[in-house]
Amino acid sequence: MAKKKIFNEKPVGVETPEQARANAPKEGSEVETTAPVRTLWSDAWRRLRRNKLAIISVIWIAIVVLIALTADLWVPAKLGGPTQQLYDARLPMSWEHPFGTDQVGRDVLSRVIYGSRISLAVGVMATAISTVIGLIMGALAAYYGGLWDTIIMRLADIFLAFPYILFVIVMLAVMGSGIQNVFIAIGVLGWPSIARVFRSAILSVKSNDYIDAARSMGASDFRIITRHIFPNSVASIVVYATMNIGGAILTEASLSFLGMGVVPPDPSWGILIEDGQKYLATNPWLMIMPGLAIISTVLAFTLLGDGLRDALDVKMKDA
Amino acid sequence: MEQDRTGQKPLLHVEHLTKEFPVEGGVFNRSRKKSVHAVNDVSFDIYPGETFGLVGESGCGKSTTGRCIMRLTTPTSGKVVFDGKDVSKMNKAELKEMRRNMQFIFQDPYASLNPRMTIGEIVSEPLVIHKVMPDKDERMDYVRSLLDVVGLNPEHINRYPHEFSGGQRQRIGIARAFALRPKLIICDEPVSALDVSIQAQVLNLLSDLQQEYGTAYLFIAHDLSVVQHISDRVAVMYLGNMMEYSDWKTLYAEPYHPYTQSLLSAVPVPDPDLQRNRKRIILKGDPPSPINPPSGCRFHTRCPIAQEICSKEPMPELREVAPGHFCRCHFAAPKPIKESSVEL
Amino acid sequence: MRKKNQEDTWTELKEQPVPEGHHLLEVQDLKMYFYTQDGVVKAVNGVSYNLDRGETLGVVGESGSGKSVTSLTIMGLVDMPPGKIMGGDVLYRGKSLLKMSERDMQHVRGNDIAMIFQDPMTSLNPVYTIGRQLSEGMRLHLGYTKEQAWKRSIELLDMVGIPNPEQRVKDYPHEFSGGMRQRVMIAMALACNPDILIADEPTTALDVTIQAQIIELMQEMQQKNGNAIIMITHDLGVVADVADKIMVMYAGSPVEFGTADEIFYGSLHPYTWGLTRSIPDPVFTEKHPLTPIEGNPPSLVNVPKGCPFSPRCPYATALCHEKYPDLYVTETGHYSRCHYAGDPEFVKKNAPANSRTKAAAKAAKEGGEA
Repeated sequence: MAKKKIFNEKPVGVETPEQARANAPKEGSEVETTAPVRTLWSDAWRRLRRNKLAIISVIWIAIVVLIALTADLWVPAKLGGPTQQLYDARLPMSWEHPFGTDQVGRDVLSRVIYGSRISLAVGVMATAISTVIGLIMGALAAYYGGLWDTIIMRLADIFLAFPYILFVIVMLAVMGSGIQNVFIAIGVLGWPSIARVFRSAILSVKSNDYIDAARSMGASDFRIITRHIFPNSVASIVVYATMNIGGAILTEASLSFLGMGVVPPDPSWGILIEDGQKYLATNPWLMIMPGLAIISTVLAFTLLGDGLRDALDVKMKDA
Repeated sequence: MEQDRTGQKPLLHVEHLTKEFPVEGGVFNRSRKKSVHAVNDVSFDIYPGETFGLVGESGCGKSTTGRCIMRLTTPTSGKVVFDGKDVSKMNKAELKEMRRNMQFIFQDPYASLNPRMTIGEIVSEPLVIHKVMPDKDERMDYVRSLLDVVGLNPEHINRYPHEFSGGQRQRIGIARAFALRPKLIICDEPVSALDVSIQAQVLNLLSDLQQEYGTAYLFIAHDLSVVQHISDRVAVMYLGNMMEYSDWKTLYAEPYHPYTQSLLSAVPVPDPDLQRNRKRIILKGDPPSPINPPSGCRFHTRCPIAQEICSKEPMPELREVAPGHFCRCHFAAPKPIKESSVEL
Repeated sequence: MRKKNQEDTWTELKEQPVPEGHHLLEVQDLKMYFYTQDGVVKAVNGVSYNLDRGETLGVVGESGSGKSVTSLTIMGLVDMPPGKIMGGDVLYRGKSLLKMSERDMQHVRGNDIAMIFQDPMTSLNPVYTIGRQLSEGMRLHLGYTKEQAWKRSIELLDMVGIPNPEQRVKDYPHEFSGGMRQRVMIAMALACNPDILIADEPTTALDVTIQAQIIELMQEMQQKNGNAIIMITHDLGVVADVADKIMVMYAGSPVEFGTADEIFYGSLHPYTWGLTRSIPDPVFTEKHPLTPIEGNPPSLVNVPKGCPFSPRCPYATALCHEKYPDLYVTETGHYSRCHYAGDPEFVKKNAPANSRTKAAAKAAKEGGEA
């Protein structure tokens, strides 16, 4: 069969009466003629919107991100913006200083706002690093299997066998503190769980007939991974990464609290807590306010991840 | 359709095809490796434009045979020759070329379509892979015409698989298989997951398309009544072995093998009088495990006419009991089906 | 614990006589709708039938016809919401199942009405042995001790034809084949000697030879225990020699109901004809295309105007597309929801041939020749 000939002739419908009848009642019998055209992602968004907690989380995350990004524009210098003007030390909460001031007279609200920049940056960057490494490792393990799978997954097991926070501390001790090193330490050590999640997602997608269908059509490995496996397993990664951002923020806070993370005077939320805990008895807001910032943000990421998991699940469609 | 095929070259030639899967005995007893004899010395030919039916219960190796032919899995031994070329010796480029001419239709209309791709993307994927019709508009026009041919509304090209019913999804799978106008399509239980009323639609569509485009089918199913309507020749498999093999008319009119006879008699008939008066052979028990197949004739454990010889002698040969009719049984005897069902 | 509480308040329903003027199970104009995002799904829309002990009812229809949801509604297994009973009643030995408390329903399920499902792979719990799963119901409903229940489990496995039951009772579900698992499901369903056994496509997932075994087993058990069976299937052939009565469902409503003879030899509804015709005839000598029902079952959200079957009915007229048909009921209680069911000419011309009409035609022909 010559290539040209096949497609130059217009395919003709089989004009049997049965066919004609089959075509006729198409309208009324269609499963969803009345529903608007829907895609899986728009369906997911529709389902996510029904989840109140997830939506509150999205709004909260959006507010925190917006404040962090625009802080320079509106946090007044006199309140301890970039120039860090000093006031009386340890002032209680007031209209002027809603979160009070700290032991050297800096406005705590401003410090919490600037701290959100560092905390969010650590969360996002570290998760990005873990995700990229995890995706590559997970994909190699799952798609090629065999020796690749054994080596990568045993390596992941070894990583997971160590207490995570100790591992990060050791790594920071070797590399030295500083924000970049915090990104790298948390990110690099976070890959095994992502790799595991992605590997199992791929394995379950791989067992579907449409992968065999693509192979039987002669599709290349690259096409099968990018067009078939990835879009169907990415949902679990989106969910996991969202939750991981919260985890990374917490890890950074713990590190800073232990004096291993971001170096003062850069205000990360962990450092604010560490600063504040000395005055817990007399000036509790110094610790409570940054603490609330961490809890609410981490919780928001976790709840959003939870909501995404339900929303992205194709099988939940008609639930 | 008993055509004289002398001198005609088969499109697909399968010779002594055998596939074994290793079964590992776990970490601590690697030494006791066993293997599943999924397909055991299966040979047949498919000629251009004809339908070859392969029937058997689950686990009989019929699907594995299909997958070996497609090279979705590599056979342990034996030869598969497609269009004059040995499939097992093909390099990557040749394999890709072969897959243009050989397509697959899957059983599960839900698992065989990527849920994140639109119908248009799914049906046009073979065209994209083989780089025929590079122009997207032209391709989509062609896909629309294909959807029309398989009885779907061409306007639904941008919809997703989950918006369609099982029967409609199977039509999408058929449109995809026909996109490149292949010479052979392996249909792996294409209607088993569908309602009876929809099964008939899909079977009619497949035979209409065959008449139109002259495609050959390897039609795999567990239900003899489904296969007979579409096949020119039919083979019955049991535990990896071909038990009987003939053209459709004689196989149904005069089955020789007791297994074929029982399969035929198990088909339910929507007519209580006929059903009650029919002599039905209900086989006892389950098919034995292919890891540990019975000695002698594989069927003897469930065979209604088994004798001592069946378990003692090795597996009987596939012998020609009538012209073009092969059967693997010591006691092969014709049993006209009309006798077993009562004609009123 | 539950058992103890029940002993003083609960009277064994299945030991009570069926009240005068009632049947074992009466479903009266049952309506159950789902309220979903996409609209109201009229999953069960006016289903009525009666069933007595020893009888078998076949419920036949395509997927999405509401045939499974009807029995789930009877069992009280539909989540409410999104489901909502919109009318009708279900009487079991004269008592309304719909008005029963959840606690009493738990006693009815498994004890009085048991169910087996299509997929024997997923309806058994993979982490417990077969024996434990069989014992559970008997200990709960019959108050058996562990040993009694275990002994009875072995008997039950033996009864449903599982070889070597003393050993197999200790096995896990994955060690059984599909057909064997369905046998276990039947044993489990029959453990408490229920009045009614609901079988939802019990053979669809099985091979043909195993299908025949399972149907035979269900009939055998029925003869032994005298229970009623509701057999749900999409294939008229499956119920041909087992059903006493058959209800054909389409788009949530029964379109035809009658005895097996009436459905197979005197059907009055084009949908039933279509279902009969679409089954491939196993004995034929010339190749001919099959006769499917064209089109697809309608969405239950958007049931077509007029007769729901009209878009797929080859005989539909303008009337069919406009007006929802009334029931046409014969003296024997055989009913059909078709505008033309009362027209013998129409029925005679279009109904599919069967062994009886063929025999009659043959006899007439021979009579004419002689």
